[in-house]
Amino acid sequence: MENQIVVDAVEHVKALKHTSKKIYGIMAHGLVPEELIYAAGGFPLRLSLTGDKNAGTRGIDYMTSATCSFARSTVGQFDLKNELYKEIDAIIAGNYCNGELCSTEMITHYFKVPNINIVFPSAKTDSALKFLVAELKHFKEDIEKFAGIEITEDQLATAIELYNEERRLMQKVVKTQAEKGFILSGVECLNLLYQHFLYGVESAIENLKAVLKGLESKSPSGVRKKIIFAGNGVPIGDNIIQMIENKGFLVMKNFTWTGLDYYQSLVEGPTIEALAKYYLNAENSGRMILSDSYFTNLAKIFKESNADGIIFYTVKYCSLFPSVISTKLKQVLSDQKIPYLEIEREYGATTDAQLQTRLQAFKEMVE
Amino acid sequence: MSIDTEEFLIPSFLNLNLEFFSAQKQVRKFRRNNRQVVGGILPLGAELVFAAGASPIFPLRIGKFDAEKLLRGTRLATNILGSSLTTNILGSSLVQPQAENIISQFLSEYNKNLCEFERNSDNFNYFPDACFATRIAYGSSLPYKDWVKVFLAWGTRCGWFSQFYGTLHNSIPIIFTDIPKSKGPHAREYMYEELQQLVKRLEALTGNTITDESLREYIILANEIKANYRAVLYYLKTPEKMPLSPYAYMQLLALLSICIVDYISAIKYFHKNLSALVQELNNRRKIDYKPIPKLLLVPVFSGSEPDLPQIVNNLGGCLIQADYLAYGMLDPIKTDGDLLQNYGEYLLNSHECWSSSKTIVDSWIRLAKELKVDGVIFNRLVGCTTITPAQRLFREEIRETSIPSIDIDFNRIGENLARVQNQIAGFIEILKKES
Repeated sequence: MENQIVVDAVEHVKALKHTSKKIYGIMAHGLVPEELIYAAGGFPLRLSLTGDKNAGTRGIDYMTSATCSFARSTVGQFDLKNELYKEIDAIIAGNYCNGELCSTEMITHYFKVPNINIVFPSAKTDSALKFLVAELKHFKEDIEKFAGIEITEDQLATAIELYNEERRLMQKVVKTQAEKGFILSGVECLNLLYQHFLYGVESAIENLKAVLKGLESKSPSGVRKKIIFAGNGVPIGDNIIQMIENKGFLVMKNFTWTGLDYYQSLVEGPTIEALAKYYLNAENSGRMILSDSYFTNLAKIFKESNADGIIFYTVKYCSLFPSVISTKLKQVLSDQKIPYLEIEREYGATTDAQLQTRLQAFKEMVE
Repeated sequence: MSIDTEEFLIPSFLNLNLEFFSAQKQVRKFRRNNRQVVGGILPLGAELVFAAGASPIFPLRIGKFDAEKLLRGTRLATNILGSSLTTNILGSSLVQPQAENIISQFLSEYNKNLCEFERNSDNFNYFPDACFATRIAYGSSLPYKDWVKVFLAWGTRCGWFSQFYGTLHNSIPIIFTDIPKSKGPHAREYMYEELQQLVKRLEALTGNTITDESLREYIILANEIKANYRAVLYYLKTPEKMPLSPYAYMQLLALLSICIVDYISAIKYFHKNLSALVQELNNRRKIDYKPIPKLLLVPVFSGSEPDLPQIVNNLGGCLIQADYLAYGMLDPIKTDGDLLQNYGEYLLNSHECWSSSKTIVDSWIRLAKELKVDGVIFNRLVGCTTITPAQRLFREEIRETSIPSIDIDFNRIGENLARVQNQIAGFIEILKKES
């Protein structure tokens, strides 16, 4: 059965189209500055559907089977004329992920959806920041040209403030959870992000406010082993967090682009420069060589948050995380005797027996 | 095989082969002379390394070659008996069988080394789904981590390269230089600043200053080497007048595709011998390749089956590997004005050549036409997430031309070899019938 949140989103997006709003499809990683799209009066729809086997198979016709299942299924969804994706006016992708870059190119070539690219540097130096500022200015111009409007300083400031408000609310959820003892499960937190992906920032803010209000009167139920989740994100249609939690764990922190903990900093100022700084420092996105501090930070957070283990998630054929986890993760986490589990698989809603066994073994290890 | 042996004994060709297989000896010499060794897997940055007074090394060359002694013996014999060796009855009977032995021994040892690098990568728990190129790069670099002082790492669109550098960094220090995927003035400025950082790091490593004069000298040498490499490839434009038999020609292309990465760690020697070789080849243009199916292999960049040239040769064809030409890496670097700026321009241009599937496909097709090949083999490299996804586009666009093509799969050395052989045999048969 199709996910109800997705079914409803189709109607929502169609309604937006009737108001002449342009719909921008945004690929994964959380690195496209949605603030600029919002400021231009557009609707940034995060292309976050995955796990549909048919779409994944169709995707192989356009790319190779050795492309990550997210990129393949995104192309496949266009081939299958997915109700949600066919409303998209333009697609935006970055150079930080080849799956993203190649699939967007195929979507533009075969399905004639215009493509707006955003270029990120691979480094994190002052020169890289200067470069990204210039690139974001180009990106802004591209959006303005496509939308046929000029983004004013005020519009940009308003958009940045709105997205910061959402981030502040996310931070508040994270803080309340830590203080009151994790009332929301990892799956419920994931759904807060999905609200943003499909319905946009304003709807996500309303939802977050309602959830925060609900948290006031609730208290945690039961004691479960607490897990920090990192690595690749979990798009809609992938049940990894559910599988982990069904085994009796609680995903207390999720540092991927689909987790609340990804959004723990704010854009510090109403300018393009501030936006560039924010996105350049989004280290958990895996857009570049991960610095050693990524894993030491993970270890530090593990200790500070009193977690029981770390699960590092890698999607098969993703070239952003895997080799790093095999070496650095093992090195840093093993040295500090932190229990961890590496999971590598294709995105999907499967109940892999082998994975169930590994999760069970990991649970016994941390108990 | 006899004609190959005679060609193999061309002094400059022999010297290049010998130098190619002497990496261990070279590195030991550098270390004795306190010359810093800088690793690299892309044909980028070696000129700067030389200008800093260090020596670049492509780790794939580091390996033990027992046949090196035989090769040295052969060179000695040719030096003593002169260039008439193969026409001289005594010399021919003495050296020719030995040379044939050396060729086969070298090839098998080289392949054995590649297999060992692949095994090393597995043993070091390097990610098995990574592309072949980065797996063997890791497997060849790590055992020699004490020999290499620092590794040149480039920020390109390839995620596997980035991960290779990131993982290697645990064992060997890297100097990371980003190449932006953009070409505006801000990209040029960023590239320039990145190169300035690279220069600083190399200067700090060696204690030498990279002067304009020294950099210009090495860029000029590199440009001339690249021009000669292009000349070797462009012989194909007149297939009726090729200078070497297909087997020797394929060997030369394979040799150049590796040597260009580190200029076999001795740029002046490489330059001298390649220039001499091209001069020699220019006087030998009498072999007609018209009846021989010439097959362009794309992409090669991320790795290909090392036995492929031999397979194609046995089936009566000639395999052409010319990736670096397609990706602008054999383009000259301007030698007037600000050299670092020129170097940056070269890096940006070459990165742009593989910036998108469409650009890559256009480059391959342009190349196939330019080199007048009879067919194209698409090397579908499992694990390559950058270039291989261009397969469908390529298939569609090559169909628009009159150039036939086939797809083969490659993941690990020796895997599906019989299948690949059958595919190529069928392809060559069709090409021969059509011609």
